[in-house]
Amino acid sequence: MNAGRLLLVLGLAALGLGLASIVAPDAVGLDLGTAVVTLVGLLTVVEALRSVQSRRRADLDEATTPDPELTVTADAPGEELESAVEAFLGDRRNYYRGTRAQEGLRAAAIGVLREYEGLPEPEAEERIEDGSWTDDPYAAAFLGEDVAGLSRRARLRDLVRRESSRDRRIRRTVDAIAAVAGIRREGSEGDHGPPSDRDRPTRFSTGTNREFEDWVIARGAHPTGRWQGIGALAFAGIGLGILVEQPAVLLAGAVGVGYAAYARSSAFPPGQVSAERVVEASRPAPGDEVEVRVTLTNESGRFLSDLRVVDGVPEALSVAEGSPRFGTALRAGESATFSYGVIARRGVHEFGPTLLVARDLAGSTEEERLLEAGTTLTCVPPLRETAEPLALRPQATRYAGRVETDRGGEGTQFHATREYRPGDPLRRIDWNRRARTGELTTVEFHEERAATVVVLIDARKPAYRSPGPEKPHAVDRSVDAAGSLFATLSAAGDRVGIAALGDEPCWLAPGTGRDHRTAARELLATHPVLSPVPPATPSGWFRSQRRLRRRLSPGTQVVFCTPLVDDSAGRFARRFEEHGHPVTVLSPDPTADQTPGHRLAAVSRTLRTSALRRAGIPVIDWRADEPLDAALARHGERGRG
Amino acid sequence: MSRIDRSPAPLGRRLSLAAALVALLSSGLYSWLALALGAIGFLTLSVGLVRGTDRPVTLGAAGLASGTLAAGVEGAPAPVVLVSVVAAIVAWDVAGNALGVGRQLGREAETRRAEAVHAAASAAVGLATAGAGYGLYRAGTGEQPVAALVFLLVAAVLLLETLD
Repeated sequence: MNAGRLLLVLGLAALGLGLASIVAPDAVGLDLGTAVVTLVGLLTVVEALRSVQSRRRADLDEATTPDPELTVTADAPGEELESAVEAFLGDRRNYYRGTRAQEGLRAAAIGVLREYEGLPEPEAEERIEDGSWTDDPYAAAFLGEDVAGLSRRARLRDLVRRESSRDRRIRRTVDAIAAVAGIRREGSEGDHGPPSDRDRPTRFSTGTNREFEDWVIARGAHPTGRWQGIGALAFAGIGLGILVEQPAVLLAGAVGVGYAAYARSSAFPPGQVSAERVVEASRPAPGDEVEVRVTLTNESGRFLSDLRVVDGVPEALSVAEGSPRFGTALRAGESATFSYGVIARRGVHEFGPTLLVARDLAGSTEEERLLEAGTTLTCVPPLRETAEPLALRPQATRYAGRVETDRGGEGTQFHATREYRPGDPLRRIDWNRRARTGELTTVEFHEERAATVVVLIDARKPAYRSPGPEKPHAVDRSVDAAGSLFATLSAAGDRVGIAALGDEPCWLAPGTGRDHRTAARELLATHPVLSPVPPATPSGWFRSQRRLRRRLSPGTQVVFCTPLVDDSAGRFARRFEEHGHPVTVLSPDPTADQTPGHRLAAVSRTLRTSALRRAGIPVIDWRADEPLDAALARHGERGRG
Repeated sequence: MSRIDRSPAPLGRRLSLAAALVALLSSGLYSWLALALGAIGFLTLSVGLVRGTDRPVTLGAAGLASGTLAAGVEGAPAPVVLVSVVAAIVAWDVAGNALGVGRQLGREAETRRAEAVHAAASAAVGLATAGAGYGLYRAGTGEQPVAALVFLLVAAVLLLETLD
């Protein structure tokens, strides 16, 4: 016989005895004797202890709500030291785990010595062996073999530090490498640990059944376990009351019985509840605060005592004011409205379903539902021109326009004079010279031609990187820059197109005109590949790169906006260049300076930048927190000077 | 906003502390043991409410309830014991609800109506059972044997337990 059955039998027996003692007090009544009553009291106290135990073992089973108001954040490159180290190992990734960090840092050190000190590889290796490449004894000892090692004092100091000696050596080595690469350390003494586990926003899981009519049950009615153990009070009161013969204690037990009954008296499920969402402005500018109002209606015929909702704020939007969460009780047919403000951001933002957690009055049963309330918020930022023009590569098409060529012809900038040939326009004859010497010469200007430019945005998953959780990530910055470059170049008469490397094809053929401009603005704001939210899975961009190369007509320039966080980006740039498309790389810098991993990733990015520049591809390094104009100006000056 | 404040809902927190204070004072005036147990319980419950953890809340409410029973054992009048035990249970229930609301909706959310309804229902149930029990006790003493009441209560509890 199991415990439940036993309780049932005992309960029925007690009920029978109780009723019998009321109906025929003389038959049972007090004649039971104190011994029996005491036994019952003791048993009841034991039962109370058992009930306490059941509470101790049981956990609450309450719904956990997602955090839709937190925006997705992009990590800085090198968040994991291991991946930053592996970037240097290239194909030699199969090193034994224990020495992988050493090998990777060694490769990094050789890389920077070759690049920035101009040492050939054997010499760089030699200097690393004997430790003469750096002043730092830790770094020298970590990578070198013929190094005497650390002094005894340094070793002792290691023992007292919190940081493990291995971590310390890695950190010092990374700093030494960064110093060779000329990367200035801005952070304080490196006791920043890796960033503590931030609240990662969790999303609604609609399961596989995404298409639902009004609502779906995310989790059916289930006991929350909140009232587990209330029986203990009932048993303790009754048992004690019997033992000490105090009616007041017995009555306290009776109150416990009342609550135990209340906890089990649920009238569930909650019936029909609907949610409606109103977004104040449908086409706001980026940065605007948009009010979202959600109305919750009880369409069932009875009082719903406990409704808790979490609205499905789109992933990319952050909540500025109020809370997308709400708890209320609703009478039959009643509605309640709550509102909150979100900050608009570029893109098409689809609101998710509203999560409803409904409970019965006692809170002992709970159900989770997803209420459908489809709404979208579209934010299409205007295209702003840059104050500083982008210095394009010197190659041009046959259309008249802005790029100066080395050929003489029509234009504004003086090129040369030559002998007059019949048919030359009169206004280009150098009349001053004619007056002075009597010769008839023709002035030639630099021929100016329009360029055909495709602004290519790196929107692969690895490009979603930012130096800090509150800062815009590289793809957002690239899209902004692409919009500005598009506006500036097309205002100057160039034919401009837009493309992106990503999961899906994204392509706007080069063109001119008002319609073209509108199409570009729309594409930059709303194309799914350029979404502010990183794609869930990395895939398929190799094909998009091949497709893109087929689409580019010969001589088309490519302005490649990429954070250069992996080697593929550099390879793309070189391949376009090899295929006769002059490439200019505009690289929003997403690197951070907090951990050795961050700094190492910054080193590999500067190495990539230098390698591209050496290959003749101009790279505009666009630092975080710097306006695009400043980066373009810096680049323009270097180009001229 | 980078994280959500998930501490207990403010209204529930205040109501729970008020109920706990009622439970402590009503029984504590009649017995030193009740005062001691109740004070420990009250403090533990407050810790749970501040930190937003369940275990201290339950332990604290258990302390308040055992203080009440102790007062009853030492001969406190039935109405006082009843008020005290109802207040202890309400304090526990409202605190648990405030913790749950805080976890699910956070502090920023507007939740007062749901919390007030929950607290009112909890108090109403307590007062109704206490009133009914006390009424039966006053009406029934002398005529009905105590054993009948005992057995009926035991039966009720056992049958309720089997419903789990």
